[in-house]
Amino acid sequence: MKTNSLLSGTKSSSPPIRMAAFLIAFILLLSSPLASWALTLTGESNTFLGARQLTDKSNIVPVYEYLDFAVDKIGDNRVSFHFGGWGKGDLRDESYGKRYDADIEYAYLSFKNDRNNAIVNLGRLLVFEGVATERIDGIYAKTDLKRGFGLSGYVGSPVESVSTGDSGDIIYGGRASFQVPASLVVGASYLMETKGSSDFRKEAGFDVWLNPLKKAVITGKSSYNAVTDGWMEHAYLLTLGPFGNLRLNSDASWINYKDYFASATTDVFKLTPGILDPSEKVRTLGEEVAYTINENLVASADYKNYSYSLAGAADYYGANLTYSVPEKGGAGLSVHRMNGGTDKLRYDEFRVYGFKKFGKADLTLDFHDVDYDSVISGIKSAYVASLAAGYNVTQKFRMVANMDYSRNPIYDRDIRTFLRLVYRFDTTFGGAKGAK
Amino acid sequence: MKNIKIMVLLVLFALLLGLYACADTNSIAKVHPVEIKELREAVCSTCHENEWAALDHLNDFVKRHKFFAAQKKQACNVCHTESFCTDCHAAKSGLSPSDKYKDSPERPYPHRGAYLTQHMIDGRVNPALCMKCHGRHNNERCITCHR
Repeated sequence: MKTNSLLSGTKSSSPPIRMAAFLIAFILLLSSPLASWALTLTGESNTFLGARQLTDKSNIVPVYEYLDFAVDKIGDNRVSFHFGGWGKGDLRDESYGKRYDADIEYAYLSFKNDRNNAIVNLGRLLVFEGVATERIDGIYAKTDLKRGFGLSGYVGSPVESVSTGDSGDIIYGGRASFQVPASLVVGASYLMETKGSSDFRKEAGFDVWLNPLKKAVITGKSSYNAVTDGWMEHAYLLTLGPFGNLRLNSDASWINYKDYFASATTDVFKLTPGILDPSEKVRTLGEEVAYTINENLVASADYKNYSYSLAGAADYYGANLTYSVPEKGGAGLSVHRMNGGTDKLRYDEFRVYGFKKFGKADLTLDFHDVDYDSVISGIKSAYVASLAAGYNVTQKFRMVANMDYSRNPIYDRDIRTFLRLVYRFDTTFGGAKGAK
Repeated sequence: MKNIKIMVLLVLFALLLGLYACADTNSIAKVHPVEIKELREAVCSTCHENEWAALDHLNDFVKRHKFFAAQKKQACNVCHTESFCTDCHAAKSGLSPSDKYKDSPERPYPHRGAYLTQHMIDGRVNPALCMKCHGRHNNERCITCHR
């Protein structure tokens, strides 16, 4: 039997034991007699029990536990602790090469000041700042400055789930911003990841939110790869409306493979050797028109054009209809067509779903189908039909059972079932009045 | 030379402290003052007229949310816990969000349908979309086949 320690699945240049020590220290701090302050604990536990037969006829019965919680008012109204993570164990055959697996997604102490949006986070964090979409073991800080300026920065070791050995040791960066309330936010950001004495990643970027007219908003960002010396991506979106019940979204993006995929550590995205051609460039142009028919019904049509410098072009277009009634249920229907230059890029896509609440119970039906123009592995259609039934036992405890039936080029017939138990908790304890 | 660098850093730090001390903005609320129970209630422009109105969670918001998250994530945290982000943006994923929340079909989760088949097509159409989540992490399932 293979076993995995709690953090063995993730790689960070800081040892996993450091994170464990951090958590233990934090728990001891909370339980110490000195911790006489009132704490609030809020969170959610999601337990999943699944069953499925894989293509090799192995039967897997995995149990997953997803837990997230926040402890607020740690000695001070401005200090909190946040945790999110999951663990898995296979009760029968081993799935995906690991009988046990786990991950701490985030675990950090946070200080949020009441003035100037000043934040300091310490621990395992998610950083979303301009060009950075990272998970690090380290520190992150952000604050407003005078006259609409702002500044953020972070430093730590990058956390990766599986590494092929060419990831960095230290990552750091920041973002400087300027805003004019209700009109403009612009930011310039920088990210550096080093490995030993060499630069593994060096990226810079520019982001914007611009509201030039009352019913027009432009959002977007550009990223530059300073290692390969080229633009990785430009992605911009223009939102117009509402004009009565009408809204329009126009988006455009440009991606250069050579620069965009240069820092990939997953083999399939590596350019040398790889299945991606480094000389490829793709430009996408999209348009979506949404019309609110009434407060419950929205119709939309969308179109996206992919234009490649080497592989030709593809068009994806279709329509959606969504219906929802608060506290009662809803439904959705979408029909799309992909028209590309190769057989695999020619297909029709359909989806229909509905859900309805019956007091404490609810029922969900979902059907998703893709019909290919040509035969793929002997079949022309891949579909999944899902049925889910939920029941709110109490306000805090919910049960959901679901079953998927699927047919696709890989599985002739795939049946998956899950039972999900949701428990939400919200408790105040400690403080002068004693535990509640 | 080393002393000059230290001096420059100290001056910059002092400058930042000064700018911080002079700044006088109210922090974004830690928790939204009105509880938002359903997605369709998250139409920010119902109450807000300033930049918050742009956060309207209409059907197209999934397209736009990355820009807001990259600029002002505190605004997201007013209503969403961090786990709401990691449901999709996990660095190491056990279950995909569309598998976890079968009872929320209205949410635009990635990887719906027979995605083992569809990923071969999406990966050809726009691999950059895959790269964002699977290029450097959350790739254990990828390397099972793509070695």
